[in-house]
Amino acid sequence: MGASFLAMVLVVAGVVLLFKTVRMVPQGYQWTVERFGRYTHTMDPGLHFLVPVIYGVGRKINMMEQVLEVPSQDVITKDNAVVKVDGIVFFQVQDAAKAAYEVAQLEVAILNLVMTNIRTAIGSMDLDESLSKRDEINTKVLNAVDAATHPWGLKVNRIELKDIQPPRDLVDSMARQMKAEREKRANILEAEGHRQSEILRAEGDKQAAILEAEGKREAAYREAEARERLAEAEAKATQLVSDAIAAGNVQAINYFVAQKYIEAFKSLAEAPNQKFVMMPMESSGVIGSIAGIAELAKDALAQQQAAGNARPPRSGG
Amino acid sequence: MSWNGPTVVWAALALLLFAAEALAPGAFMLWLGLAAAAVFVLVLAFPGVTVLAQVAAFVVLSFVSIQVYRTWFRKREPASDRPLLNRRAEQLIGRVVALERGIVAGRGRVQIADAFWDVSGPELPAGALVRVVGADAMLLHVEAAD
Repeated sequence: MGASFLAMVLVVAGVVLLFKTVRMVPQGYQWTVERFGRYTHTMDPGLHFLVPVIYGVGRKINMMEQVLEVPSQDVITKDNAVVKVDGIVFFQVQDAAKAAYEVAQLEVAILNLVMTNIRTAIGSMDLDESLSKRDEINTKVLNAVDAATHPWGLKVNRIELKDIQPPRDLVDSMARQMKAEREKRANILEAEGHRQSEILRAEGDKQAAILEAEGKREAAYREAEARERLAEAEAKATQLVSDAIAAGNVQAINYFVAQKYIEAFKSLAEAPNQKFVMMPMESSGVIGSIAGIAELAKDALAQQQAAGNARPPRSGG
Repeated sequence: MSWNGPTVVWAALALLLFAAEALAPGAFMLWLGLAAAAVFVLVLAFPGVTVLAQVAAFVVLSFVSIQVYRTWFRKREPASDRPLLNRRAEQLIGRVVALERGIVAGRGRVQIADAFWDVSGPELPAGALVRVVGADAMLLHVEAAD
């Protein structure tokens, strides 16, 4: 009875002590070992044997890189805008003993450090800057936090701001501002285009006027020249006619005048819209001219008889 | 060997106390366990001891076991591989840093990592390089670094 009870106790105690003797540390972790509560050494991953009761496992430290979510918080920028900021922190324990014993509540400590440093970094910038210079903020916060967590055996690898959210109404006015900016640019461009086209048109008009005036001037020159030539030609013709008259008979002129007279008379008679012809000239003039022709003929005949085959007088033309 | 009441009880008590100490380390149950084991041996050797005497021996032996540990085993305690754990100031011994505030009247200040430490040492201007040679709680002792 007593023996069986003792055996049972022995089994229980034996199993408990065995469990406390053989310890297996998984990969990615390091366990600290304490002897009567005092840290002695760190166990790497693998199988380990500890003297039970005297030695015990202290803290089980995760040596893998870990991610901490930085909860969203309200931060006031330099120009007094309240923005909501959240982020993530990547850190890795490099020294298990320090991470286990140098700091209480490691994750709480890191988070608070990161949050306060984010506030500091954003508080020194105005809103536009904090929205556009995330890299700078990340670097600033990382430098500060990395230095501060050094004594805790940590390496903080990355701190990233996930989201910087200005309040709704501010976002709206920012959008409006952008729209206005674009509209302004469009209006300016339109006005520029308008101005350019007006200038070009005016230039064209000016050119056209100049060209027209030049053309007119040119034409006037030519016209004057033509008139001069005509006058010259007329003068020459007149000269020739008068020369011919001086050389020949006056009656030759009468011949031409009579010819023209009759031609004019003929065209007057042929005019289709004339019902009757006013005769502005006295009949005696016509008769006279006919008499002149008769005289011409008579003269010509007399000359032919006198000079055999003398040439008739040249018509001036 | 008689498996009567007291012996079984003391043996079982010793084993249970060892197991309890292994499960919930606190060290005091270990000494009780050792005392129980000693009483178990005593009862085996002298079966006629009264229960009262056994209990008294158990109490006395608990203190004796602690004393034995303190006298013989304490000296041969293995050293920690991080003797400077939780001694921030002493961890800085050997570091060379620039003075953030010059040492005037034996007191100055340096910045190491994120923290400021008061230092004591020879008169030196701000910016001078100093080596930490000792630590005294919150105060670092420095000397000029060449």
